[in-house]
Order: sequence, then structure tokens, then C-alpha cells
Amino acid sequence: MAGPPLTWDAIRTGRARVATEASYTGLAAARRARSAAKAIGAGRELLSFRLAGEDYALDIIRIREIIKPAPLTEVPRAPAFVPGIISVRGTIVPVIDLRLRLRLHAPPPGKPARILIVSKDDDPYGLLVDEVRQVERLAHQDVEAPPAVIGGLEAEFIAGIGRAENKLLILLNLDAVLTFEVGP
Amino acid sequence: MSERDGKPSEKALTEFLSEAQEIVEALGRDLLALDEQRAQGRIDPETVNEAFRAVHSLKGLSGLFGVARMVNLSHNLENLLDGLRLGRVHLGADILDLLFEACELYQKLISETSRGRTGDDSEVEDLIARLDRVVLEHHRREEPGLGDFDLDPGVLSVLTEYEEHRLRENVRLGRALYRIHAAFDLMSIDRGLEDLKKRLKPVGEVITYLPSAESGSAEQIELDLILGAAATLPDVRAVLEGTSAEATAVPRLPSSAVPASAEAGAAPTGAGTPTITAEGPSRAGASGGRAHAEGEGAAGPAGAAGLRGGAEGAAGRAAGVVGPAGARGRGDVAEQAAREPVAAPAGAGKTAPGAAVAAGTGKPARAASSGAAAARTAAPSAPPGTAPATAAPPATSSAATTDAGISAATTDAGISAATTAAARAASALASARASARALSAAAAGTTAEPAGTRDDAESEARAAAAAAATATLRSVAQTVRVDIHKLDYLMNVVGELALARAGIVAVLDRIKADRTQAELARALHHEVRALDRKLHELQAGILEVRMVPLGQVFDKLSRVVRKISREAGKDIRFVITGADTELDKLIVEELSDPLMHIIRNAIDHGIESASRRAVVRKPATGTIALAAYQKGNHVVIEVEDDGQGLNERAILASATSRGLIDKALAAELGRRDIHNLIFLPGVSTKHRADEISGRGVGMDVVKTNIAKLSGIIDVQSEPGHGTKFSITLPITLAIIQALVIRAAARTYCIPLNSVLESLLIDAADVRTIERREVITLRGATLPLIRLEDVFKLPQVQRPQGPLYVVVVGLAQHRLGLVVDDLAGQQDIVIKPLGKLLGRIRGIAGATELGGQQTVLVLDVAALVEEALLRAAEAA
Repeated sequence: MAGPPLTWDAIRTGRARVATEASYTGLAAARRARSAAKAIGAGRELLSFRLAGEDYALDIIRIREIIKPAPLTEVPRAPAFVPGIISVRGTIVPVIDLRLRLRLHAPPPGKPARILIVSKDDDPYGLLVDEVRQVERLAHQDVEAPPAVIGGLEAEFIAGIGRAENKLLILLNLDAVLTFEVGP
Repeated sequence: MSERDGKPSEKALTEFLSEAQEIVEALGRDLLALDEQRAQGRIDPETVNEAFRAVHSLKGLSGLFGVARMVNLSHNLENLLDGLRLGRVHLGADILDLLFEACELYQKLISETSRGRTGDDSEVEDLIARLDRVVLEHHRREEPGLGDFDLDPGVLSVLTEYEEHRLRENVRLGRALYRIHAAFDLMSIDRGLEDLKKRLKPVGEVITYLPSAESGSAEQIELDLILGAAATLPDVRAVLEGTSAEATAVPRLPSSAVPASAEAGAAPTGAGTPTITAEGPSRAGASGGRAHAEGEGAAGPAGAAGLRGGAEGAAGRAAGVVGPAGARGRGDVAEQAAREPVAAPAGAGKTAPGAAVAAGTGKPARAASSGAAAARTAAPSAPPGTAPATAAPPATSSAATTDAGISAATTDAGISAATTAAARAASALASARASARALSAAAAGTTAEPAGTRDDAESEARAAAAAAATATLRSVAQTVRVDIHKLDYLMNVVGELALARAGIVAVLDRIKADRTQAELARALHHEVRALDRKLHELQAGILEVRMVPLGQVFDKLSRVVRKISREAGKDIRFVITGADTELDKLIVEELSDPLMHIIRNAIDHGIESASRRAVVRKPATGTIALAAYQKGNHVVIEVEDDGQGLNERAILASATSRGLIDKALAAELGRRDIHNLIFLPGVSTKHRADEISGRGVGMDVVKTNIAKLSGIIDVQSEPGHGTKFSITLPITLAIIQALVIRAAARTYCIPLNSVLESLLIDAADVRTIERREVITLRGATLPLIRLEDVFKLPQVQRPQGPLYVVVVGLAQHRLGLVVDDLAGQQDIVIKPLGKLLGRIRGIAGATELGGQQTVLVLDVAALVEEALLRAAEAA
């Protein structure tokens, strides 16, 4: 698909107008709400990571472990975003290059790159990311549905937008990311 | 049978299902044996009993788990089998058909239950209706006489219906009757009796055993066994050599007056009086002899007169009571249970509460049969020294009361009395039994209840007895059931260990390089070798656990053959060899469908009709031989029939009409090529004219299934002489031998079982036909493929000089895989790529080769198929 790779920048730079919580209640109120949520343990824990210069996040319960990239064994006839497989303590794990899966235009990951081992339907998968950041705690009200402005193919991969202290996180729809057809 | 409250746990249900499955399989084997015996005109009553017991156990089990349909089916099937045992029903082909049908239905019910379905009852009800009809129709009353044997009428009168039937049957078969007198130690009578029966089994049939009229010591029980045998007295004595048992022939009457019939008539007459009361039997028992015997004799009739269900129950209890001395009374089943070897002699005190609890349910029949079960366990452990005086009163009190709870609770006390009593007052016992029998007959006569209700009470007693028997069996079993996936996991761990070992070897090499550490290196080397050996043993051990005999599948197939051949109206001899050949459990499971298809085809299309066989001068009975044998790391399974062979013209016509090959090509095909066409989708060997819809499964499915197991299928056929399918399978899929190759700068593994040979050829030998590379190998054209082309791998510089070609095969198709290098053979564990990547064709999975190297394992069957498809498209 042609067009801009992802319109997240547009949201961030204000070219696209998106109403936020702060628009209505002010930042201080939002902070109070967040800390209250934290205090009573509501909300979710997310792992944030960098990918093509942006912050993404996944529910931490979906992540089994984080490993350093090792040489991959390439699999012929696999989609281009599957650069290969890796063996994690005896289990074969297909690795997905998230950058390619999300069609982001960015140079390949460098030294801080990691593979997040996640699972879907009991099968493990590895997600290649540029850098792992930290664990974020978000109250439920800090997570919004993906803005309607973000259209196109990539929209299905975005589960929502998370608002952390001073940054915005793109919450990935892991099931969508891990659903793809493999040709014969 | 009542439904159980609450749902059984998932695990318990799984246990139940696998146990039921085992019993049904055993039942199937019994039926096949019966079929065989019927054909030879010599039915072993023990086989009928086995089948009967299997159905019992099923009924007890399914009752526990509330599978009502199985309970109902078992109940009615039991009636039929009971009729067979007692000679009321003649075992004909139609009856066997019904039994086999029931066996299939069980399988279906089990699989439905395992999927949590209840299904519809119509099928079960239909079969039950037919079972009932058969039982009614075959009700055969007349029994052959006893000939001129001079048997003590007292003996005759105490035989159970089954024993009497067997006795008459033996006489009918012209066998001689022998009386075998043996003494048994009170503590080990179970084993002693079993041993004796085992000895006698080859020469004849033990019809009954009775307490001997001759007196013995307090520590011993003397029994008279009645043996029906075709053997002569010296032969019987020879068998008894080394034991204390003595055999004598039952004398014959000078004239052929038949005392038996008079006696048989006498019992019902006496019992026919409807005014018999509870005191009646007590008196009858008392008249029989001493006080100890009275207690026991009374126990039976008391129940009989008291309650309808009690009649059965008391009989069952009586059977339990005299367990060691020979089970008696009407409770045939309890009697069987009593004859089962008892694994753990439980204390009488321990079993008593069980009986009391069962009694608390208020069902006299059940309570009493629990009592019988308790008696069975308790009896052997009853101390020989128990004073009859103290033990007898409770037994008598049980006779006086009709309260099932109390009587059951006191049963075990009665037993100890009875055990001793049996030893001390055997002759009195015999007459007590006679009265017990008369009384239960009387109870039957006096009750106005329909027979069905009676049956229910009886069957409940039986089910409980069967359940007790099962419980005993379970405790002696030395086996465990293991989920195959747990073994997979273990195998995986072994694979990890092998990798760890590779790591150690790498360290060892580094130490070896350091000359100052020579001694350390030697020591480590030694340890690594020890580790190797143990690792190998561990691997072999796990593999062995996964192995099951092919007989599991073959048994199922025998049933199918019987069914299909009868449907097709063809007489077929099914010869099985090598049923003990072992294969990985997963493979065995997957084999039944393909084999069934092949055999079905052989019966439907291979074996000619009887009239046709007469014309071509073949024996009227067609033969299908199923053979299995091990060949190196493979198992070969062959299905061969002596039918008409593959119809080549029909195959060609079918293939050309579907456009699979063109007519011009068809003319050039050799015989083997034509035979191979049956593995293509849509090709049928049947003429259109006699095509039966819905029949005949595509051989392409068979081929695909076999290929999934890394197997190869081959067909040979001789017109007019028959067809032979050979299936070659790896012994296990868990660990396979692989050829490690290099192609396009990458490493791959090829399962060695699909590699036929490796060649080193000159590049100049490669020719091209229609742009496809081929070589000539022993006169045949071998197409070549290169992985870089198939997988569209980036071009790399191909090595110069000679080429390595790995010849692989799928069915009769051969293909040469051009590789850069052969890097040796290795045992590998194939691991799946997961649900998504697993769909990629041509890749079977991945494996680790050590040194953290993960490589792909090629799916040769898929690659060959693809090459064939491409060739077909290009043509």
C-alpha cells in the first residue's frame, strides 16, 4: 500500500487532532487518576520497546522472555518478515521482524536489538525489536482506542494508544501481528 | 443402574475410557477366537466366559460413570452371553454377527463419550431389541441326558445351572468323566486349586468341584473335582503326577437308567409349594447336619424367602461363603468372582464395613453381592482355628433376619464359620446346598414379579461383583498408562542432553589442545564416553516405551475383514503373521485407516466371487495375508491377496478419462507404471458398470497417510494371481537417522528412510529433457532437482567438478537431489516449526545439530510430489 508509513507522527505533531483526556480535565487530574489507579492495582503492565524510532508496547503477560538475537536459520518459502527460526532451549521459535511486519521504513536493528518471545495458541514466536525500554504501568483510562485517522493496513496491528508519563505508546495487537498466511 | 451424582473428574473419565477401550479390544479378540473355534466346531467354554466377564466389567465400569447407553447395551449383551454359557443359545454366525456389531457399537460409544457427546439412543436400542429377540428365539430347553454315568444324585442336585449344562455338554461330546480327589491347605487353597485347574486344562474341562465327603483335618479342605475329558485315565493321572491329587473314573451304570432327570425333576417339585416360609430352609439346613453347616445353609434360603432381591443376594453370599471350598448356589457370577485369584487377602474386619455401607443403600441384592465380594477377600484369610461355635451364631442370625444391612454386615463372620464348617462337615454342606438350591427355586416360583425385575436385581449383583473383580485386577497390574506427549517431552530432554554432551566434547577438545592438561583430558574423555553410553541407553529406553505391537491394529482389522467379507458374501481366510512386531505408538495409531482401506479394496475388488473362483480353479476360500516384520530400522507391512490382480485396463481407462495421462502416453506405460496410477487421486480400479456408490477409498489418501509417517508404499500385482501392497515404515518418528547435506551454502537434513542411495556423478552425465535436468541411472531416467531452484534461494557459486546426487523415493517415484556436499549421518529429533510455518511445503521441521546450529529437515515426500506436479504441468 502506498501513502505515509504510519500517521502516528501526524498525531504527535498535532497535524491530526485527537481529543485526549487532558483536553477535558487537565493534566493534573489525569495524573491523580493514574496514581489512584496504581494505588488500587487497577490497570495493566506493559513492556515498552523501540521500533523504527517510535515507542511500542505489549502486555507484559504475553511476553515469556527476552533474548539477545542469535544467528537465525532462514526458512525458504516463509514470508519476508520471517527472517528465520531460532532454537530457544530446544524449542523451535519462528522470529518475526516487527519492522517488516508493520511495514515501517527503518534501518535494520543494531546492537541493542532484542527478541521478545511471545506466545499465541501455545506456539512460541520471537519478535525482533530495536531496543527494549521498560515496564510501564497504565491505568485503564490511559489507554484509548486507536484513533480513527490511522487507517490502512497497519491499523489492524494497533490495539490502542497508551499514555505514559510523558510519552505515547502504540499498543500492539499481538494476535493480528501473528496471524498471517503462509503460501504453499 | 443409577446415574452418579456430580460429574466424574476429567482424569477419572479418561482412565475409564481407556480401560473400557482395553476391555472392548479384549472382547473383540474373544469374539474372533470364538469365530475361529466355531469354524473348527470346538467351542472353548472358557472363551465364552471371558467374553461374558468382559461385558460384566464394562457394565460395572460404565455404571460407575453413568454412561447409561453402555450400561443398557452391556446388560442385554450379558443376557445373550449368559444364554451362550448355559447352552440355551446356540452360537451361530448370526449370533456372532450381533456380538461383533455390539463390539463396534461399544467403540462408537466410547469415542462419543470421550468427545463429551451423548449421541442418540436409537442405534443402541435397535441392537438391544435384536439381542433380546435372539435370546428369546434361541431359548433352548432340552438338554442332553447324562448317559450311563453313575453320578451321585446328591452331587447333581447342587450343581449350578451352568455346571449342569457343562456336565451334560461333556457327556454329549462323548467325553469320559473323572473324579479327582485333592486336599488343599486352608491357607493356600486359592493357589492350589488354580494350579490344579491349570494342570488339568490341557486334558479336559473341570466341570465343578465339591467338598469331599471324606473327612479331613482342620487345616485342610478336601475337594472332589469332576473332570470331563476325552483323555484316558492314565493320561489324566500322568497330568497329576507330582501332586497329591488322585483321579478315578466315574463308574458307569450297568443299565442306562438316568437318575439325573429324576433328580432334576425332584427339586422344582419340592420347591413348587408356594407356602414355604423362612423357617423352611432353616429346617432344611438343620436336617442336613451339624450346627455349623446349618448356619450356612440357612443363610441362603433366608434371603430367598425374605426378599425378591435377597434371593439373588443370599445366593451370592452363599457363593462367597464357600468360596474356598467351591463356590455354590445360584450366584454364578459371584461364583466366578470367588474363583478369581485374590491378590491381597484383606482382613475380614476390613471388608465388613464395606458390606455394611453397601447394605445401607437399601438394595438387598447389591448389599449381598458386596457381601459376596467381601467374602471372597475375607475367606482365604479366615484363620483356620476359628471356633465354629462362636462364628456360627451370627450366620444364623443373618438367616433369621431379612434386614439386608445386618445380614451383610455379619456375612464375613459367617464366612469364617463356613470355611471351617466346610472343612469339618463337608457332607452336611452338600445337603445344605441342596436345600439352598431348592429354596431359591422356590423363591423364584413364589414371586409374582415379572422376570425383568428379577434380572435387574441379579444383574446389579453381578455388576457389583464384576466391579470388585476389576478392582482386584487393577491392584495386581504392573503397568501404567502414559500420555504419549509426556514421552515426547522426555525424548526432547534427551535431545537437550545430547546437545549438552556436544558442548562438553567441545570443551574436551580445548583441554586436549593444552598439552599440560593431558591427564585431565584423559579423565574427562573417559567420563564423556560413560555419559555417551548412558545417554544412548536412556534414548533406547524411551523409544522402547513408545513401542507397541502391531497386533493392536491387526485385531481391529480382523474384525473388519470378518464384517466386510460377510457383507460382500465372500468366504475369506485372514492370515496374520508378525502381530508382535513393534512400532512407535503414534505410527500404529495412524496405520489402521490406510490398512483398512487396502484390505477393504482387496475384499471388494481383489478376491473374486465364489463362482468366479470356481471357474478359474482357485480354492473357494479367498486368502488375505497380513504380514509384518522388521527389516533393519524399518518395519515392513504387507497385505497380499490371492484375487484377480489389479485391472490394468480399468486403471488406464480411469486415468485417461480423468485427463491424468494422455492416450499416447498410456500406450507406452509399463506394467509397474500402470499399477502406480492407482495412487493418483480419482483413479479407480472398478468398472463403471458395477460401481457401487460410496465404496472404495481412493488409494491416493492411503499414499498420503503413509507418506505422512515417512513411509513408502509399493504395489505389485499379477493378473489372475493377486495383489501385494508393501508398506515400509520407520520404527519411530521420535528419533530418526538423517543425512546431513549442504546445498546453496546452507545445511539441511534429509530423513535417511527416504534416501535410497547417494551417487557421485560427473557433471557431463547430466542431460536436459525439456529444460529439466536428468541422469541415466541403471538404464532408467532419473529427474534431478536442485534445492536452490525449488526454494528460490539466492544464487551462489556452484562447486565445480563431480556432483553429489541423493536419490530419494516416494512410492515408485524416484528423484535425484543435487547437493553440494554430504556432511554425514546423524540421529536427529525432528521438531515442528509451529502452526504457521508448519504449513510450508517441503520442510518437515527443524533440528539441532550441536554447536547451536539449527537446521531444517526436508520433507522428501512433498518435494517429490511437487516435482511430479511440475512435470505434469509442463507436459
